[in-house]
Amino acid sequence: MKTIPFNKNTVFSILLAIIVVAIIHRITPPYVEDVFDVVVSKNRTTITDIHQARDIETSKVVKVDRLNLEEKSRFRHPKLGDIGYSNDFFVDIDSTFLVKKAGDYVFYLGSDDGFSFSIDGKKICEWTHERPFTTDVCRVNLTAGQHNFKVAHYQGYGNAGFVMKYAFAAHRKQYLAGENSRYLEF
Amino acid sequence: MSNKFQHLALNIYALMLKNIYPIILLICSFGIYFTHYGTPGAMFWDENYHVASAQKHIDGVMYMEPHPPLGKMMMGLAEAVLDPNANIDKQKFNHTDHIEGSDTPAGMKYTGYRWPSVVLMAFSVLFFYGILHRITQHQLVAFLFSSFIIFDNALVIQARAAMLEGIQLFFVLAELYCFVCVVTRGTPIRLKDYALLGLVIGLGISVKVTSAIELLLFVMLFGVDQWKNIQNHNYRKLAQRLIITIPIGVIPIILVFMSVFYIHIGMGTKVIAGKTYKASPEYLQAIQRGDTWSPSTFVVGLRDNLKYMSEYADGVPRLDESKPGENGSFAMDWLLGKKTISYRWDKDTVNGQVEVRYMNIVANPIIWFSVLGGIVLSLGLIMSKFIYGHKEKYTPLFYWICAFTSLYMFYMIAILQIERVMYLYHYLVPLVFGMLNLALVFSYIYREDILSNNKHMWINLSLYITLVIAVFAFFSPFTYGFPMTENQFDMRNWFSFWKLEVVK
Repeated sequence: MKTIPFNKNTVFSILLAIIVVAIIHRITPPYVEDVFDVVVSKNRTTITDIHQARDIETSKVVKVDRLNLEEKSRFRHPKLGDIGYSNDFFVDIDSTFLVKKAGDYVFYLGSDDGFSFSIDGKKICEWTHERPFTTDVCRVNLTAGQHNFKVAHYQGYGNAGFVMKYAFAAHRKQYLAGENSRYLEF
Repeated sequence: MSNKFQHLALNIYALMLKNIYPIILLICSFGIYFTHYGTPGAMFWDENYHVASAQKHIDGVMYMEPHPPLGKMMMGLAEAVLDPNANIDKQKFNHTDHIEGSDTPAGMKYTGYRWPSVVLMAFSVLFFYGILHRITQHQLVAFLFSSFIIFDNALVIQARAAMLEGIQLFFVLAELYCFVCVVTRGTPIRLKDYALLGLVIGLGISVKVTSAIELLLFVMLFGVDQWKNIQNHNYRKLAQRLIITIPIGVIPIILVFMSVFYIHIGMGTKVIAGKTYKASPEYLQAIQRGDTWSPSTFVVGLRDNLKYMSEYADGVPRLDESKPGENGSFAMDWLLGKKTISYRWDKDTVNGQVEVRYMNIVANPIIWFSVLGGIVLSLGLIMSKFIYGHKEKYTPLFYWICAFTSLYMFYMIAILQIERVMYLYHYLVPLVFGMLNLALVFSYIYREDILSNNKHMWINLSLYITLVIAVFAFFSPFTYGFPMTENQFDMRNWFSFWKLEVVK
């Protein structure tokens, strides 16, 4: 009976290559497209209202592709993992976007706890105090061209998360903020 | 004159060249173990117990402890000789068995107490190399695999501390080296070989009783010694030899153990803060009389010490994995490095970014997983001979693999019988057996390639050892307490079962 040719050194080389690739894959930081600069600021005192005076201890900027920051009831990006602090922090996003098609738009803002959402300096909607993760539906008419939006969000204690979606009112198909469509571009 | 000098220089050069591998290993070992071993400048994990005990030796205070006293005596001796805390009042250490932060004087240094563990562990690499060199008869194989004992994160953090494992492993490797030397010497085994082995095993047991696993070496030594009589079923001669070798081997162990306790009991000349450790009235009276060095005091002192050790062990809680913050782990989990222990951490904010200095016992996964792989392979090899009847290719190497696999397996089986909570560092002794075993399994599998100097094999082995060193360096922030951000921590949190906990 013929035996299958088996080179021990080749097997060892393959094994080493697999280990090295696995390690490189594990230690390479996750990459996401840089669409939004999310400023996360840890507050020294307990936060109970989105408009309360801030007493910031430390801040960090996290670059994310989508505003889909709720996973496992935490302020967490699907790829980047936890990007918030344990509790009592503010989140600020200030970004521009291009409206390709003028008309009525619906923004879906899900948050735990409060948030405030404005476009071109005009407040569209807000929830000022704590709550479990809940989505607010905010309508606005937008002209074609460049616009700016600002979101302020806070997390007090317990579960956390923030998600922002949009839809062209007539079509109702929802897109995550950061996801380009034939209506909006970020 | 100049000729003589030239001759001497040539001799030294030749000697260095001959021993170039152990010299390189020793330099690397001291670089890894000894560099800045005074950091952190605070105690962690069991140092809080051992420093208190070592100080009692210095100040002549009676104490009892769950471990035999040799390790603490060495720590006390190093502290007294190096005296890094000359102007510091350490009297508070004598009033407690566990030093709290508030009892620690400002400016305290731990370079004295840590010195024996650090230095002995750094020297252990020579025994490790010697063992492999004598068995494989190949310098380069022994040299490359000796990097295991230098570049394992768990070994390094444990040995760079005033803890017992570094000292214990030095004696464990000394015992193994002694055994390997006797067996590979090529001359008949003499009674003084049993006595010498007993002497070194006695020293190991006097540091930590888990070193008693090395008693198996007597069984192996007897097996080698009497191989022909065993094969010929010459029971009479075997019994005759056994009657002589048992006392010759065991008496030095008892003598060393007793001598260590004699010094320990003799040095304990005062009782402080009413801490009598369940000492009997006779023992306490002897201390009051200043009669601690007399044989009668030794008898009662030893009895009380052994009783204390036994009762302490009975009182240690069992493993409770449901308990929040449980640091203990199940013995079978250790094979994959579960669970790590956070010895201490210090948090700081630098330029608005939180950085934490972790001191965690964490495995070098390349070494630990390879050791496990080596055990699986060697068990397969052993079974192929004894169950399937396949003939081994290299008989001496096969039996050495059997020896180290047996030591590993017996240690794990013995540990599994212990009911009290145990910790990841209790795996360090079998890990060392497994490291040696892996080197031998590799030599067995690649014997022909080693002898024929196969380039592909050497490149593979060199890359593998490079990987071991690179992974050690990658996890070194946990070992040396280098500051890390949360992201850097996450990058090193390879397996959820390790249960590494980030500090936010």
